[in-house]
Amino acid sequence: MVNQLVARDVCFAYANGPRVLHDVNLELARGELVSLVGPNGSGKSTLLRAIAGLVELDRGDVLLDGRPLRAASPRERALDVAVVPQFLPSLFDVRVEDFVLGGRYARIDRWVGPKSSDREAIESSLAACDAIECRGRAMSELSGGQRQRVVVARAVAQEAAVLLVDEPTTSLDPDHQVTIFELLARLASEGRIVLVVTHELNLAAQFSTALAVLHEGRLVARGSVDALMRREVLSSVYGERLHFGRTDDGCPFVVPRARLARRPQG
Amino acid sequence: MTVRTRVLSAPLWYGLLLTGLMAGSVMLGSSALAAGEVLEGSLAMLGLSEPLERSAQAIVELRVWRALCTLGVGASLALSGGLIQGLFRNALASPSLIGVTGGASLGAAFAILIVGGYAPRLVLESSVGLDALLVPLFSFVMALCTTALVAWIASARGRASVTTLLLVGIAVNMCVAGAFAAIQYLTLEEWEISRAILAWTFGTLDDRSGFHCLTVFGGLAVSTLAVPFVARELDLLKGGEEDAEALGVDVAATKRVALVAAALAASAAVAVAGQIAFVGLVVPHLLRLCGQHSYRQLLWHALPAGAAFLLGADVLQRWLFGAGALQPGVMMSVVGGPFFLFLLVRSRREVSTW
Amino acid sequence: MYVLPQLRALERLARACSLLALGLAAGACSRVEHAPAPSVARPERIVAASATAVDVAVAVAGLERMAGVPSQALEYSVLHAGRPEPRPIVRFDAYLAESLLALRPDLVVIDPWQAPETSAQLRAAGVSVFALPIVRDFPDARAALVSAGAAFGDPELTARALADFDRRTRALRERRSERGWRGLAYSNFGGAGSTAGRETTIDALFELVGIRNLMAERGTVGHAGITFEDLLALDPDVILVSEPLRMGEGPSGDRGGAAERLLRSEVSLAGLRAVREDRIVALPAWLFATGSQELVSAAEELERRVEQLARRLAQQGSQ
Repeated sequence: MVNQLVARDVCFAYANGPRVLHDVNLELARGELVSLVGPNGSGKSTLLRAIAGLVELDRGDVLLDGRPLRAASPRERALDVAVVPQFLPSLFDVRVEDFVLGGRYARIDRWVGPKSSDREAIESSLAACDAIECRGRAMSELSGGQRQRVVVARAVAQEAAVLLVDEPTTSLDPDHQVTIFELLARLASEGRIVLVVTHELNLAAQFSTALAVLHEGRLVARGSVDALMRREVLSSVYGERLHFGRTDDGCPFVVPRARLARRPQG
Repeated sequence: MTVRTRVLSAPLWYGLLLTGLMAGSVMLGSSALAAGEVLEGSLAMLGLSEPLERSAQAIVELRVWRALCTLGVGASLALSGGLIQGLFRNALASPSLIGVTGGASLGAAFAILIVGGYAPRLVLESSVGLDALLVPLFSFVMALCTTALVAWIASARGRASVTTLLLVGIAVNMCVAGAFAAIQYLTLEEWEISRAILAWTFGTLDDRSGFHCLTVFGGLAVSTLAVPFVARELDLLKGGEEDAEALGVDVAATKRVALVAAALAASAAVAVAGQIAFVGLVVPHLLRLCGQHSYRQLLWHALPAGAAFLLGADVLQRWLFGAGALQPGVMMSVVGGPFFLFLLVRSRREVSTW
Repeated sequence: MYVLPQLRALERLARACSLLALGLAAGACSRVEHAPAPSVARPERIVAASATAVDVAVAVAGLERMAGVPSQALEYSVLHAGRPEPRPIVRFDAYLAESLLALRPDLVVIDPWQAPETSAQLRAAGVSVFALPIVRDFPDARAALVSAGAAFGDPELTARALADFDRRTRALRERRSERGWRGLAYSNFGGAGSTAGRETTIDALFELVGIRNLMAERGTVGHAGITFEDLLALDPDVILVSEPLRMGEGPSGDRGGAAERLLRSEVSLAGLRAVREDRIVALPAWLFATGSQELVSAAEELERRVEQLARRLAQQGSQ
């Protein structure tokens, strides 16, 4: 069980490219669902991959309860950290069980193969993600919402303490977006660390325990939803064309909006 | 549970199929031998019976070596094709992509030049009897060297992405093909040698000996050892390298092992039989059509299926057209193209998702 | 390596391509069949473009009128290394218009299969081109002498060459062996074995010295592949191979001889009668490959070596 994930002074640049991450420091605790937000190209996905250990850092460390992640082999790392990727190929020849079984890779002995405990983990994670009806079908046959739930189910089957989720709601309708965030919030409340990269500020505001704002490779703010869903914080990052408000139950929201001056009078 | 019963009965079916094809293959030849003689001669090879009259015994042995070589070559090419397709995440990939075929051609051409007396004989002068082994030896070594060169150049700047590997493979193939073409052109006037080089490129399973068998099964055995280490990993690679790595796959090691195993199996096969196209491409494809999508099953099935495919095609064409009518490499090229086209048209759904 | 100096050939390839393009553009490309009689009454600078053409041209026109020969003629023609060379002869490496025009020939003698584009170029440049007929047997070889002699030969030399050919051929036929040995030709450079069937010069040689060509009897026409199983099944009394080619110059050492080495070393062939009893007969490479009236020399040499073999076998038998 992992209680704390710390990214310390994380710097990263692509080979022969500009620096993408500048001294990022971020702490996540068990039970938290932190949404990482920021404009396009701010380095959100790169930071997620850096935390997942999928890119070689120029400087800095990612620590799980004080242990540096870079010392671990991919297999050891997968026991603690699961990733829900934004894009996957269509996987037309992969069946849903086989796909979810992929999450158990680090736990399956090469010479023994999947055991009954692995089968149970597949069942229970599919059930936990409301995707049990997808069992027996090919990945390419699923609808967008089903597919996203199955991808999350694979990460759940991995039984890792840290869940790193990259834009899980792109191409989903509003109802399915809510379903996914509900699922992520539940997973966090069960004792995981969940970090979600997202553009859905309003969903993030409803479900996150905290927000982290990334701008031009730097972490510019980290704090509670109430503290960060404000014009003073977000306009410096997203620009002025935002409208802020609160829902009936008092949850802050923000919607894109052209400046009033430019609107035709009517 | 149906999967498990199918897996259990598969070895039985494959065993029956291969035994039948072996029997058919040793019965076919340019000289007439009775089934009893062939059986007796084969048993004599195992020391279970008195050998036949000398030349009849030699003929039976040649046929047995030929059949065994065909099995080994088919299995090796199919396994290698499966591994390469997994590695490149593309069902159109084949061992020739990483330079195996080109390198082997060049090696064979060098060996033929040496046998033909074009190179100073040095050591070879004193080692009469090496001639027959020289062509497989050279093509094997050159095939492996070419693949190593491809892998080395592709990974010269840190991690080798599959795309880099593919591009470097194409470039190195072009270089090797250029050298091969130069040799072919320069020996154009020496028609005996041009003929020998050209004949090699068509692939042959004639006149094989125990040495050839040892080569192909040696390569195959080592490559097969790699299967448990890459099968599940190749399945996970379908989602991309980064996704696989996030799931705990050591992607770099997987690529290395799969590449070495594929190169070894294909090199040994090509060294023994010359260029035989399409087996590596079509057999994994056929297995997918039969529902074997997971590399955990596909790679194991590729061994007997590839063996049966090549031996079956060889037996069929020799039965239809007589011994020596068409070399298996030529036949595979003639039949393989239209057959592959047919497969593609049938599975258009797959094509559209690339 | 012998190949390296030949890398110049790549350069020549490029030149050939450009010449070819020129030729096509000029529209001067017409296939050369039998050439009309040369325009020069008595050509004094003759270039022979193949080993066969060298044999024929030297026989009917004499060495003095030869202005150039291909390099391979020094291996595969009457001019082959080891024969006295009365005077240095200019050599060229490939049948390309530029190389040949540099020799300022007034007649070029070619084999019928040689590049028609080059021949067209030569004729466009005002050089006569004479194509020999295809030679598959002794009458063909004689016909080639006759037609070449009529076209550009010295009547006296031609008559002498024909008389010599006829006399030696007749003599061979008269003393043809009645042993009825069953034989076949074999060559193998480590790829696949090949042999000669009907309508080949090898078949004509076998016929003239009284050896039955097993491949011809089997119905094989022309040159064809042959497997170890075929060899074992036919089990010939004698196998004809090519001797290694001893080069007169260069570090290349001997070329060829591969078939004999293979026959003697291959385990599965150890049971062959020809291997067991040492009945492998090797012809010098230039005679094994000849396609001219020198077939008669090849037949004489084959006969001599077969008789040697027969004597040795008889001695072994009497011991």
